[in-house]
Amino acid sequence: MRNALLILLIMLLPPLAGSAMDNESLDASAVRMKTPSIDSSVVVSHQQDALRYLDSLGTVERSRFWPSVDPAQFLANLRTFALTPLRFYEGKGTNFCAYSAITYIPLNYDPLGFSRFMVSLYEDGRAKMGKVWFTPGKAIREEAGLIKYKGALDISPAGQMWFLCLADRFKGYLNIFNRHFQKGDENTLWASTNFAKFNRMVRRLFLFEVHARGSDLIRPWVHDLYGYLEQRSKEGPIFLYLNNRLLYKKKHVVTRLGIPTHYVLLLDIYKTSDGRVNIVYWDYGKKTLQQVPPRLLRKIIFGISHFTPIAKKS
Amino acid sequence: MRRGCTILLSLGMMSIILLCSCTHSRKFTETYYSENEATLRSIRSNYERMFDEHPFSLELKDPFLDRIGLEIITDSIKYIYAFRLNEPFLMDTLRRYHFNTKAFGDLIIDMQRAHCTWITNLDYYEHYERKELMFISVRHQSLKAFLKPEKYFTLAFFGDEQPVDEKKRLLDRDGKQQLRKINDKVYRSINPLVFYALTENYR
Repeated sequence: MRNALLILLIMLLPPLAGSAMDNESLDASAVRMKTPSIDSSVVVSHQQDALRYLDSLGTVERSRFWPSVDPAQFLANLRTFALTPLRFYEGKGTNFCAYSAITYIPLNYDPLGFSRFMVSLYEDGRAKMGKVWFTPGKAIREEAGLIKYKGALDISPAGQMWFLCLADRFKGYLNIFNRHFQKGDENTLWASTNFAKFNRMVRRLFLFEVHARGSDLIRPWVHDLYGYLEQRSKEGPIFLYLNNRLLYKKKHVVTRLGIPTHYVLLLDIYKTSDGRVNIVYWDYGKKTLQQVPPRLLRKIIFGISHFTPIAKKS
Repeated sequence: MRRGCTILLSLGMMSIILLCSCTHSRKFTETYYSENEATLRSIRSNYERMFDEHPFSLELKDPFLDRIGLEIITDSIKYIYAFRLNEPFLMDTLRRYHFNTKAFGDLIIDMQRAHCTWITNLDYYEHYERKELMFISVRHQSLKAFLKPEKYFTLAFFGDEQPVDEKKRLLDRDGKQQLRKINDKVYRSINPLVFYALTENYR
């Protein structure tokens, strides 16, 4: 209680002119929400194309492959994905962050293709994206639509289908000891994604160029990390593999194992007048603006995947 | 013989330590809410009123109130701030977002009084309908134990009465006697509107 009086005093203090220099740059008006410069030739389809396609379907019949996915809810989900791609949500406490991050690519560059893929997956129980065929097993198909207590993912059976299919189809060394899905595995190593697996997924699913730096345990050796990220962010989306326990603490412990645990999409990065770095990133269905010291930025980033939206040379 | 005695003594001491740590947290969970009910009511009404105007979450980063964390949530973006209370940035930010600064100060004082470290609103879904609950994490000396990771006493405040089973565990409304988890934890009833759990994370 020793600070109660101090707080009251602070609350009653008059505002100091120009005193917000540090956090001023976090103000809404100061946020430079830019769109990465994108080669228009790689934008395969637009939002309106996806909506027209979904409208043309009208309704779909209940799928025998996905017994717990309601067809009306499924189509409503697809419309939401096309209309508000940045609301795409991986669910609280799941290990779906990598799958959610890469979904930014189809939802922004080819929403029609993504809608067609999902409808095909729903109706036929199998579908192809990029070079990959998805033929999920019974355990996956029966679970989609039943995942609960994960926030908005509860009402997104289409999102659950997509996440479960990705986690089932792609495997990395983290999945060695838990390769077969059992109920509740969305929170376990079954769903986790190491950096190599993440880049493999992007390369095989989307026929665009991906350049990756970093690893699961050793940070990328980049002399000027801020300059590198700023430069690359002008060319296209950047995915960061980072230690979220330091960026967004959930415990009051001082010593932490320095390993990456989370994938985000970096949307913007810029410096403030006092040398701090503002990062705008996307995860959990929302953009977040957070100010970090350059030292912390270097400490938390383990992997940088630079997605160049230029069609891969065949 | 001597070796056996040493082992027995070690086991006895470990048992006493474990027993003491268990008793501490159990006693805390039984008494905390009743001892702090008035303050928690004040926090709840104050936070709900402020949240309706500006959705936000608040973190008291340390018990001495040197640093706080503030998350301001808008339709398009979430801003994560960290402030030292002896700096003027907090007040400037609150004014910029048109917060009621007095109510904000009262909330901080109440949170400190009740040892709260984190307050937010969480969304949950019942039959495809979105609902919200108020979530508070309490960080207290009584929840710390020798050689054990720190625990947090977390409270979930619902807007309407919730079903429970015979062990007073929070249930889903789907009628299948399924436990409703919050942040993957099973919650137990304090009263029909308030539930608690001991957790490893405060958010």
